Order: sequence, then structure tokens, then C-alpha cells
Amino acid sequence: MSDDTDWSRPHPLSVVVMVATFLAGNAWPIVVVLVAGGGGIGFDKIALVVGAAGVGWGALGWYMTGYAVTPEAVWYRSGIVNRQTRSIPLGRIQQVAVAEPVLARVVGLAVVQVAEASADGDIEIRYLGRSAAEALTERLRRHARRRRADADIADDPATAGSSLPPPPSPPATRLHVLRPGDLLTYQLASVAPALVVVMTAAVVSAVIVGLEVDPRAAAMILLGGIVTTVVLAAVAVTGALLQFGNFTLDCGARSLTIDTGVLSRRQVEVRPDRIQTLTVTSGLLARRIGLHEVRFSAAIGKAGKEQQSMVHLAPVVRTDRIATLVRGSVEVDAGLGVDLEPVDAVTVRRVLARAGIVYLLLVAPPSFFVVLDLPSVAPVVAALWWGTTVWFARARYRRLGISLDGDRLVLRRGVLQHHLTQVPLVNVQSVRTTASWFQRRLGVADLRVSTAGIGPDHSIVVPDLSARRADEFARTLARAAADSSWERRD
Amino acid sequence: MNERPPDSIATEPLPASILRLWRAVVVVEAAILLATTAVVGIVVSSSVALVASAGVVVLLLTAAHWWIVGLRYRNWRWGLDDRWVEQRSGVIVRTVQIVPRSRVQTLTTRTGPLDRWLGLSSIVVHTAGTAAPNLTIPHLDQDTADRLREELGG
Repeated sequence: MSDDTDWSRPHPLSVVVMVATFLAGNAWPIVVVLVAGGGGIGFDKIALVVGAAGVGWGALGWYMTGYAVTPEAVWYRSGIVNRQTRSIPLGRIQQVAVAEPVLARVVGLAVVQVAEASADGDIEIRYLGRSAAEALTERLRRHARRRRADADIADDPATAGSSLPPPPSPPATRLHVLRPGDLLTYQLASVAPALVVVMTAAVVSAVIVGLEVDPRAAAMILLGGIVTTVVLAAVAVTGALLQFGNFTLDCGARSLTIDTGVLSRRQVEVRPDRIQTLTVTSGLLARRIGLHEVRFSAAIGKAGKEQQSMVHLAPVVRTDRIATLVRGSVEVDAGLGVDLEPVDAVTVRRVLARAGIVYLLLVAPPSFFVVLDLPSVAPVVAALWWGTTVWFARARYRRLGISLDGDRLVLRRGVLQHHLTQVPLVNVQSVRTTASWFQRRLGVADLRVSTAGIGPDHSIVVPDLSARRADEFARTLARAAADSSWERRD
Repeated sequence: MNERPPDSIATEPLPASILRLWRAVVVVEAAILLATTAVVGIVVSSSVALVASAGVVVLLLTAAHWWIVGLRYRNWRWGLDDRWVEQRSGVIVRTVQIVPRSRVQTLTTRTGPLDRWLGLSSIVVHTAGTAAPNLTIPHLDQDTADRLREELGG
């Protein structure tokens, strides 16, 4: 990188936003200091000096921060005492996001986040004026697109050597718009089980208190239950509306753009071929009213950025729209109609055997002691334990399905919440099987398939496959992964 | 459990010197623990029987450790063919890790002081986008480590 690079600074108002963000985040200790300072010890003056120094330090930090885009990479340098310069080659950019946290948005500023797959993570340029942020992201996207197009032309023997300009990209099409009504219903359906538990607990305890103590206390308990339920529902719905309100998904040539948020806004742009895994989640109640959630994971390796690496393709989508949505955006079908192999039935028996041992060791002894007091409880505990265990083990294996279909792995799992995950084999980074001592006695093993990035969506665990099947799958997957690579697919 | 699937590749054990090192560490630890037990026992308790039984417990634990170290060594195998690197390891929880060669992003060679003394080094294989290393093949002798690094890096 030469010295004549055109470094730009963040917007001067960033200092104000940073100070405001700090104050908002540390409001109560500051109030405590100021109130305590009212005692005449002069804390308020100290606070003023410290505050002024903080603002000065922030301003110096702003002055020392710079970013630049060269034809090869995006650069970022910062630091007052320890200077550091970071760069991400344009071809390695996984995801470009523009976030507008509410405090920045008030003064028209935004954060630009450029993410790559390494554990060093991302470059975060905060804060830029809205137009500067748009110009920067547009530049990054154009570069990335052109570099990709260059590679395609070089690969194609028909055009190799000629200097054709990259084909013009067709305009983006809007693939998904969130309906607020759907989001509301979906959120209510998601929290409904918790609300039912709260209400049931309130009603039961109100009845007991009402019969034994005082009807007025019972009424208070009931009222408390209702208020808790309403507050929980309101919090869940408001949170979701703030996060996912105004959600839109646009699909352009080789790019997906996701816009979301009401007060704090966020726009993410990602190339479909950077998507690591795609998961359709269907909740216990939500799937009965035909609503689902679709999200994907991007290859972001930085710890603490798990949230950023799991992006919603649609926070809520209706059943009949999933296929169109997924195919339209990532050019694969959602795996909904794929024939999935069931897992060998012998495993269910093994898992039940394990449940039996756990019962004998952990559940039976305490219930035996309870028997001394309440003889009728032990059979109830046993029946409940066995009923749920057997039901759950059966249901889990009925749901579990695997398919290695051409160039992707499709996996279906989950009892209460259904998950359908698909992983293009080009994204499989490593495969492992683990078997504890106990699992080995039962002849079962866990299979774990890891893709690039961190977070729960990035590695998929299939629990308690028969050891032989787990090993077979691991090897088949590793072979398929070794055989597939982006170069060959292009 | 010993049936080998048709796809499995030839695996190698770790160098025998590392087992000797592990066992030496076990012995040194046991010696330190015994000495501590003796000193603390003499200072705190006057009962010889108690101190002696504590010593026996330490010896039993050491024997178990010795045995587990042997198992750990015996179960630890790694292999490389033209498609992937494979490692099987573990005593209580057994793990088989497979990393396709085309997915290797970074190779690191790590050599600790004991490793250097025995002329060993560890190879750490990273794949894309994970903070933790995906596969660590520990304590390989220098020739094997060089060969592995060359093959995987090439």
C-alpha cells in the first residue's frame, strides 16, 4: 500500500455520537457521580474534567482514524497510541452491512461493517454520513462484483484474452416484504407456550391460595399473572417489531440486500454464494398457522459476532412462499420436497436403553425417598418420565432425516421446533464424530458437520446415529466436500 | 468397534518418545504429590496410618493416570491421504476428525520447550472462519511434521 492512498476520515459528528452512546450506556453511574458531587466535594468538577478529557480523547481518536478503498482491498487504520492498519482484500469480503443505530440515525450517520471469514473478523467504520456510507458500500459492492465478473470471463475459454466489459447487472427484484400482521402473529405464537405456563401457574396458585388463605390474595395473584402475561407478550412483540419492522429482501445480480429495523436500521448485503447454511425453522404453534422463519449463516469467524453471522432471509414467511423465497434468492430449492432417509430404528431402542439407565440412576432413587412420604407419587413420576422419554425419543427419530442430495446436505430435526437445514457441500469445512464411553457401549455416535464461521448455525450436530452410520456419513461427506470446490462449481 | 469401514485410511501412531514423556510427567507429578502429602501429613496430622493411606491413594491415582496415558497414546492415531487429514483420539470421549485437504486454510507448527528437547513439534490445521483450530496433531517428530506440512501446504 503506497503512501499516496486517499485516506478519508469518519464524519466529524461521530465524536458526538460516540459520546452520546457512552452516556446512554453508562447513564446511571454518571447520575450517581453527579448527585454525589452535589455534596460539595467537587465531584461534579472532576466529572466535568474527566468528561472533557474523554471528549478530547474521542476527538483525537476520530482524527487518527482513516479508511480507504484501493482496487485490491479496503483499508482501515486507527489508534492513538497503538496504531493499527487492517485490510480486507475485496475478493474476500463476505458481507457488507450498513447499520444505523438510533443515536447515529438522529444526526444522519451510519456504521459500515465489512466482514470477512477469518477470526480477525471485520472492519467497522463508525460513523459516516449517510451519503458517504452509501458511496462506500456501493463502491465495495461494485468492486466485488467486477472482480467476480473478471474471474468468470478469465475462466471462460470463449472470452479468455478478450477484454469484454462485465455484463450490466439487471435491476434488483423485491423478493420479500414483511407483513406486520404476520410478524405480530408469529411472535405471539412463539411466546404463547411461555405465556400459557405463566397463566397456568398463576391460576393454579390463585386457586390454592383462594381456597386456603384469602380470596383477595388470590385475586391479586391472578391479576399479577395477567399483567405478567401482557407485559411479556408486549415486550416480545415490540422487540420483534423494532428489529424486523420495515423488513425487505431484494435480490440483484449475485447479491442479496436485506433491510430491517425501525429505530435502529440495518442493511446487509451478501453474495448468495457466501451463504454457508440455510435453515427453515417452524415453531410448535407457528407452523400450525403456516408461518416459518428462514435464516442463513454467513462465514464470519469473529467471536462475539455470532448475531451478525446469522442473518434472516425472512423473519416470518408463509408456507407457500418458502420455496419461491429461497429459490429466488439463493438459487436452490429449500429442500422441502427432498426425500430424507430415516435413521435406523435400532438407535431408538439404544437411546431408550440409555434413558432406562438414567432413570435407574438418577430418577428412581429420589422418587424412592419420596415414596416413604407419599407412596402414590413414585408410580406417577415413573409414568411421566417414561411417557415423555419414550415419546420424545420416538418423535426425535421420526423427525430426524438426512439426505445427501447431489451437491448439498439436507437435514431435518427438532421435535417441538422443526428445523430444516441445508448445507452446500462446497461449504463443509470439517466433519467429526464423537462418542462418549457410554455412547460406545450403546454403539452410537454424534456426527458434527462444520462450515465456515462461528455460532450455532455453523456446525450441525446429528446426535446418536449408530456408530457405523455416523462413520459412513462422515466419510461420504468428507469425500463429497473434498470433491467439490468453488473452482469446479464455477 | 474395530470393524474398519472401507473408506478409512491408513493411520499412524504418535512417536513413541511422547508416551515416554507423558509417563515421565506422570512420575514427576506423582513424586511432587507424594512429597507434598508427606510434608502436609507430618505437619498437620500425627497419625502415621492416615498419612500412609493418603500416600496409597496418591499411588493408586498415579497408577490410573499411567494407565490412562497409555490408552491416550494407543487411541491417538492420525492419517493423511490424497483427500483428507484424519485424526482419531480420546479415552473417555472418542473423536474422529476429518478435514478435507482442499479446506485447509492455515497450517501452524507449534513447538513447546519439552517438544524442542525431544525434537518434536505439533501441527495445527485451521479451516475457514473458526476461531478455534480444527485439528491439532501433537508431538510429531521433525521429519513427519515437515513431511505433513509440505504435503498439506502444497
